[in-house]
Amino acid sequence: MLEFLSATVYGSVTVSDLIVFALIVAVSFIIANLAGVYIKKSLSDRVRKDELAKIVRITQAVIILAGIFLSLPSFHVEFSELLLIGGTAGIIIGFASQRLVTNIGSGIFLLVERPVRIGDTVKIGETAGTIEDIRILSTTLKTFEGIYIRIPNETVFNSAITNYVANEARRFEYRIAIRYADDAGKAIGIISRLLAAHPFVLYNPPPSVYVDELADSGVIIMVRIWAPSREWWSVRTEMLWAIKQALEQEGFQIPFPQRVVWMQGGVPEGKKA
Amino acid sequence: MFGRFTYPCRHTGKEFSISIGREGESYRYLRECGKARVEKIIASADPVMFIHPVEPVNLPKEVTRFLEIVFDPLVIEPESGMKVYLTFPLEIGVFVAKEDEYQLLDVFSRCLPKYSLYGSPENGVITRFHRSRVSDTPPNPDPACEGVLELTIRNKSRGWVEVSRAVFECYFMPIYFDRMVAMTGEMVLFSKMIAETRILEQPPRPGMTPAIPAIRARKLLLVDVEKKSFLMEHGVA
Repeated sequence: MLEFLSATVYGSVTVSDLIVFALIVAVSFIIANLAGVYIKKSLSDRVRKDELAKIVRITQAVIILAGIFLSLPSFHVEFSELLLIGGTAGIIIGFASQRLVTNIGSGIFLLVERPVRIGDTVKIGETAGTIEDIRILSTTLKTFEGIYIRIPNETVFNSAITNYVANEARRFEYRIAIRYADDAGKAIGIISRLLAAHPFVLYNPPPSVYVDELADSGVIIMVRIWAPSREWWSVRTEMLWAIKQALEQEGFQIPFPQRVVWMQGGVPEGKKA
Repeated sequence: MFGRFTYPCRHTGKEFSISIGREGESYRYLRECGKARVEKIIASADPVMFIHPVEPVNLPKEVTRFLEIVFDPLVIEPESGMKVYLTFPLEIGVFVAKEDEYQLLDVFSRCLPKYSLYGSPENGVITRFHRSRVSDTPPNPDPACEGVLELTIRNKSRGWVEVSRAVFECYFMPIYFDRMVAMTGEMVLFSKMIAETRILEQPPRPGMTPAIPAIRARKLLLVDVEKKSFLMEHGVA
């Protein structure tokens, strides 16, 4: 049994060397995982989610690399040889896996340029959602329907990226229609007061409320609002309903599409309403 | 109104009411302010409660760490300074504590919060907005709603500067209280566009009690959390 351990596998490397190598690497993986869990437990409520992920990943990478470095003597590897082998292997692997290398390169550029961060609401190409993770090979998104999507970093890098929360504030708008018989000035006053009372409708840049169009069925009031980027959706949904209710309370009605039809020669007797 | 309380306790004012009463093995916290009512159960043997004014950036939810105070324009001559009194919005924090461990239990306010943008959407910052009157003596605002900021403005530039806004970093903003809530700040004007502001760790008058910063109860380990000054790069008027 013990003789089996001293059997040579390759060059001067024996089975026991392989076992030692595997053990040290396995232990380093276990320690890295434990360290990751410990860091998450300790810092999860103190550090931003994306920063935490970065700290965990760097710590784990350092521990695993240290494990591999410690286990190398079991292979009787000299560093000059290692450099030579590594260089040659690098060229071979590079040619064999160009897409992989492109993805890694793109991942590094994404981390440096930082067009998106974990937690950002973005649209990459035709895919919209929230960034869940940015890894060295791929970026993962959770769509608004809760679906997991993995996009290779090369695709992310070459796609048009829309980051909805990169700027501190963003604008959105409503087009509110009222009847021609209603007082547009009064409606503008009601809407303006509502906007002034909402905390996240920004004071500056100020909201603008004005008559935008005299349309077929009613007078169109344009409402333009600036809100903090991370809150704009909740403000948008909340204010739309609040405006509708406030206008209705004051007797305003949302006009239905209507058309006046003129009959040549008048309306026949018996058809009049 | 502000201070340290032991359980069970009750504070009933015209603005808000807070009570903590025993319920079996635990305590029940109840707070009412206007139409809002908050109830929480506290599992603790003998903790103490603090009601302190806190940085006004928590309501209705935290979206910024900056406070912007807009006031009537002041025109300041070159290389001179002046001291003015402004008001700032208040939020009331309820902390439970066990030895040195603080937990922010509740934050509420009677003021209507309003937010704004200082600078451009690309480079600016979201701020908690407050409009204040300028006075040369300490005003006497409602201590449940507003505090007093003693602000020293120094114009270090070689030209006249008109100033009508000041933006402050709120994390670890040293707020002090006795019968009134107050803090001391300074604003150094370098030009019409650039100024540096900071809230100083000194009470406007001796004997005031320092308030517990809400950020301390959250124990955030942000890298720049200790930075207490703010560089206003988007103008002061």
